[in-house]
Amino acid sequence: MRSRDRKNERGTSLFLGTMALVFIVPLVGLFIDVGVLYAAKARLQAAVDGASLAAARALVLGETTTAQASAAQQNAVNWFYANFPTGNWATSGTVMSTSSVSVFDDPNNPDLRNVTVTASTTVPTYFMKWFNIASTTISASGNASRRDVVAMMVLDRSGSMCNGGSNPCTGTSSTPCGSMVTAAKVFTGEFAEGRDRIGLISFSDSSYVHSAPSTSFQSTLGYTNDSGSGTGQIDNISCSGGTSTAQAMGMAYQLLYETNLPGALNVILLETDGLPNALALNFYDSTNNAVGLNSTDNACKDTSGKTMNGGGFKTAGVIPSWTPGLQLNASPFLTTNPLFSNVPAGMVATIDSSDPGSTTFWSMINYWTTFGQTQSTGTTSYPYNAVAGSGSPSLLTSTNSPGSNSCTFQGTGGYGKSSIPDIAWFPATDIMTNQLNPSAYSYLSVTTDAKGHILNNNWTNFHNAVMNATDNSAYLARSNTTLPVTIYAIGLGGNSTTGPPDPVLLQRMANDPNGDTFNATPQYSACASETNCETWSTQPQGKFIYSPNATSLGTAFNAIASQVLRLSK
Amino acid sequence: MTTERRKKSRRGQEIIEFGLVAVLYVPLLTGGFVVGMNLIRSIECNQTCRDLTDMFIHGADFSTYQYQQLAQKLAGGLNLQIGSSFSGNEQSNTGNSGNGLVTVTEIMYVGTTSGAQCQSVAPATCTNANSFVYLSQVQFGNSSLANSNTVTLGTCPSAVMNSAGIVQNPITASQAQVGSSGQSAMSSLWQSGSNGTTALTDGQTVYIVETYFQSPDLSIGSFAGNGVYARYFF
Repeated sequence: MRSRDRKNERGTSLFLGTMALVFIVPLVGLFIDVGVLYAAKARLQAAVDGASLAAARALVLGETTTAQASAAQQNAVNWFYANFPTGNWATSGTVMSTSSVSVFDDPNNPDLRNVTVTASTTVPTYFMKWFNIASTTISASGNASRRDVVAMMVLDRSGSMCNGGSNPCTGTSSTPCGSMVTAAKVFTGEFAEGRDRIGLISFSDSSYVHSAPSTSFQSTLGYTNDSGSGTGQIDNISCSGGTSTAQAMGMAYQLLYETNLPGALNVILLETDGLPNALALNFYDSTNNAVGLNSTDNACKDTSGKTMNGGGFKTAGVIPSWTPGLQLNASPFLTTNPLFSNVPAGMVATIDSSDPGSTTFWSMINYWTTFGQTQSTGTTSYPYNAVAGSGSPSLLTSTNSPGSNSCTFQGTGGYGKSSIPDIAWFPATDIMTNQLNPSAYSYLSVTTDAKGHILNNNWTNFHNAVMNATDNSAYLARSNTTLPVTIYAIGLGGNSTTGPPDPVLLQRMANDPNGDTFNATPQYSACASETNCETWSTQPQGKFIYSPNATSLGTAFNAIASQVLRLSK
Repeated sequence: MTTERRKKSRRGQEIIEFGLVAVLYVPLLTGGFVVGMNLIRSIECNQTCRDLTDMFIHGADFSTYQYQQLAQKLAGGLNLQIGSSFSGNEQSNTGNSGNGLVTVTEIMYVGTTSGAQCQSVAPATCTNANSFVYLSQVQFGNSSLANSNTVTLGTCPSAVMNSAGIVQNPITASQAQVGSSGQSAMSSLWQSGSNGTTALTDGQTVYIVETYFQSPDLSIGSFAGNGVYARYFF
């Protein structure tokens, strides 16, 4: 009996093991089929994600929002099938077309457009088909959004942009000025007319607001892209004069602040070919009831007719008006939500100094009358500064004294003065509240008096103050928690031999910790290894590009546009 | 005596039966394991690729060590090696061992000489009209893994790029053109007009992330788990 039992046990393991395969094989098959489904689903998901990102990028294509939505839908289809070709992973019956793409405004943020892409496909099974499950349909949905861009272009139209040629030079000339105009129009052509808002300020000794940020920027400013081109305010730029960067940056931020779209991507694009060398200053310090004139000055009178040497300038009531002031919340600025108050009439003037090569002061300018408000276009006598009326703008020469409230200051050495002895100090801030010697941080060191005024002791002190104020203008724009701004900077080399763009200053302004990623041979190092370079991790990080010559300027503008468009997703 | 003989004759019977069953089970379970592991790695590879696309579109610069480190963390378990830290930018950081290779590429279509791209340079110098050109390329990981299956759109010559992988003259430098196989692949994918797609127009840019991870630990003779690959256009 026991023998029979043993005989019966023979082959039991083999039998059971084989029988178990009936269950194990389908089980393994199920795992594999499910695995394939998961893998196909991952592919499909990534394909719709890629398509939605590409669609969001395409929201800049077209002159109207409707055309942009159509472009986004078509791009989504293009990118989807590039990622998920017909038959991918043996799939079939893939459903994805322009009707699978929806473009809509975000209900909680009017400055955000969303793109949703859906797709489905049928995945065959390899084992489960034995159980009459031949295929499974899977679907995926991807979403991407694009923030509208609000950008101010701040373009340098100083004389060095003519690169030694006739001055002023126009935007149509074969000069860096002309290259800048061409590149700026390509830049505007990259953005979404009707949704994005772009404005323009050009600056030399003073700044001119061509346009506040506007959704019709392509027709207002001009543009060039694959659809065509148009002329506008950019084409009107002509170049001459100094470099008053801080003032232009302050005015640009005022315009962004007034536009008041914190849900959008707020951007300042600064292009400059040299060192800042001019500041717009108010020489009456109302807090301390002091004026920045030396007591030895015999040339300038208050409204009671007294000079400093003669006991004048003692009260606010006798402070003269060198300029009529500047409206910062009236056209061409906007009328709502101003950050900066109007600049009142007073002892306001622009100090224009030289670059380090000559270390002189060129002029003290009061051609403020139409400052920032109007500009002659084309190539009229002073298209760069909107000088009203006749007469030289220089007040440093003894022979020129335009306007009844002007002052003829003393100086030595002709037009380029090695000193301006009638000036005792420069105020602690410029008219756009940029600090010449920031308390929390400072780029370059300056000497001050007990009241914080910047001493007029030598050219270097003023130069450093101008650099600080320019740096501070960017800092103020980035650090404002109500409307933080991302700053992009392009430094154009090859024009000014005495004062080429300062990479450290522009790295600080853009808050860019990286070294040169634009040129074949890096022109500057990462911020951490540069003297006096500092960036702030809590503030928006932009990008600085050093364009070694005007030929590369278009590529530099394109690189910035590409960066902005990437971040607007 | 008889019982003892029978016991002796049964010795090894279970082993033989187990061996026979194992002939069925071992390949089944091993194959299932390898396929399953590769599927898992494929999904991980896909996910890494998706994550890198998302980072890139939001401004990540993969020519810096900082972002390569992030990529390495995202590819955790896939053995992506990036070597020791470096400052600044490196277009190619591929002198490493490990099992991974990542390629981030930006390609633009340049249209006819009358298009905006060619017009932005002197049209007579628009060498790359009617072709796909590299705008940038960054690669990191193990260069020995690079081949036409893992870097499908070709390698941009370093001579036309700077240290950050940005091509200096994409419109005029002939070397900036995507190679012939890459041109064919791009044309096939983008200019064919199938499935309701439309051809790319002058100046349109395509971003591409490619990730490849080999699986030497899953190789079974010639049935090598060669690796998993993902490529995404965005």
